[in-house]
Amino acid sequence: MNSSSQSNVLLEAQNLHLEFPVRLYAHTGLRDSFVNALRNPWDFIMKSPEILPVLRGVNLKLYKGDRVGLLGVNGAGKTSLCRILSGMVQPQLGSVTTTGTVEAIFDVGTGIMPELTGRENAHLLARLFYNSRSVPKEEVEEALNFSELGPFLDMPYKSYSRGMQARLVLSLVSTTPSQVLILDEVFDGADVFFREKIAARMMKKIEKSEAVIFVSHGPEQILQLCNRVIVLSMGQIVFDGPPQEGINHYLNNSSNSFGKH
Amino acid sequence: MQISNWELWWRQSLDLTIASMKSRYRKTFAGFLWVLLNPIIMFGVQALVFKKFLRLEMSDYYLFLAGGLIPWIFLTQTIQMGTGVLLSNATLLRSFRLHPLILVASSVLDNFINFTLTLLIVVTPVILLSDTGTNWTLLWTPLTLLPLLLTAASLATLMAVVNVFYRDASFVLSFVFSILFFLTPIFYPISYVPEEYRWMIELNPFLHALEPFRATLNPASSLPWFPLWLKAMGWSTGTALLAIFYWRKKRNELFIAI
Repeated sequence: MNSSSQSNVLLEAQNLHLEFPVRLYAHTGLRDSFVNALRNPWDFIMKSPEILPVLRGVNLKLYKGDRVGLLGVNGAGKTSLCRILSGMVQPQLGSVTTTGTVEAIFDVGTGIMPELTGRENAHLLARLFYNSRSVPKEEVEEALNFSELGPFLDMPYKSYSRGMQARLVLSLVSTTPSQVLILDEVFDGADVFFREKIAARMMKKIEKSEAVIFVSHGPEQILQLCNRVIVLSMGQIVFDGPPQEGINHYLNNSSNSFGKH
Repeated sequence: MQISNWELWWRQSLDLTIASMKSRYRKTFAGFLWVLLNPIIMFGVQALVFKKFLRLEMSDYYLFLAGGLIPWIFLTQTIQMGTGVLLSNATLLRSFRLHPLILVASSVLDNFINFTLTLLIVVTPVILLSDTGTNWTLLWTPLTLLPLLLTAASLATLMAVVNVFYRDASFVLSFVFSILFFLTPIFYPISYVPEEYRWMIELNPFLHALEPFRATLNPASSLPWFPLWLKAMGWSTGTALLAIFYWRKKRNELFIAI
């Protein structure tokens, strides 16, 4: 890819395979399982669950300066890939090696302690989110100012609307630059006015971060932010290259591939 | 600044524990009193029923009862609280990387703090008022808390993961606890159990977890604490291995099932 030397590799994923048993949709309680076991003991013991492959051999190198837009239809494995890269999920096969800290955001509706105020939650969240380093209190306060939540900051978090939660969390996660930053469709939720403001701030963070993976369905955002596009389809990388070509590839090839596993 | 994994675990669990205590006791200060009152009332009622009504013949019965009941309450409450913790924090877990078991660890720590307080409030006067009184074996008590803590943490982990996949696990659990309460020699000594039923009692990890603790409180009425402690460590390590095995097997599915 980016004509970078080996020493600029921030993160390398080799031959990632991930699959899930589909069994868990069948019954959701101990009582159900008990009833099933009595009704059909042979099946209960012998029947192995169906396997749903999510990733099938993904290889990926992330270089310093990469702004990767990750595209793919729902179910292509985008979130699963990001979860593996961030260390939340272990692949069945393959490995991820990284030289720096990876920070990933998948959802902005992260209430931790609904009874505590927004401010208290923000300080706690800062400690949990930036878990390998400490974020100065002033930076958290700066983020809180930025969120423009004013008097709401000292009200219980449970009284927040989803948009207000998004404001708080987005302001917070855009404070400190990361080495590798993964953003998985995090811009929805905040209102239009704030979205522009937060986008500008997030851009700053993205600029300061050494590498970014950006998951989005909006081609404009990807064109604006990224210098590399990866298209994922049915658990495999089918395109890796310049943004415009990647977007074309995605739009031309993936229109009908949903659910073809 | 990079910090070690263990330090990270400890720090994050502590942060979460402090925040959750703050959140709980802000609502009602009475909540804090309740946490302490609950085991005290339980102890009072059982002491009354078993000693005065049923007239269990045993020297230093109150000390014996406290030594079994207080750890039992710790074990069951920790496991019950741990069972729901992954599900109730589903959004948090899905949002960014936070080791799910840190939530379990924090709820264990939370309960352990309550347990230590109860211990001081209930057990100290009982020891002082007993015929046995204080003794040197008491110095080993911190060591005997180890298998107790390990058993509580392991079973809480196990149940937290089970509960993600089987949503009715907490109901089944309270049923199991109400049965186990009678099958664990807490309010009666194990010597009351006829020889042919002993194996049933011996298979109970709760008993092994709490026995060394009880033995240090009242060395006269029990087997020496050290062999009991070795046995307890064996059982709790086994439970921990089971929990780790199940966690490893299920951790990937967690994010789609949660």
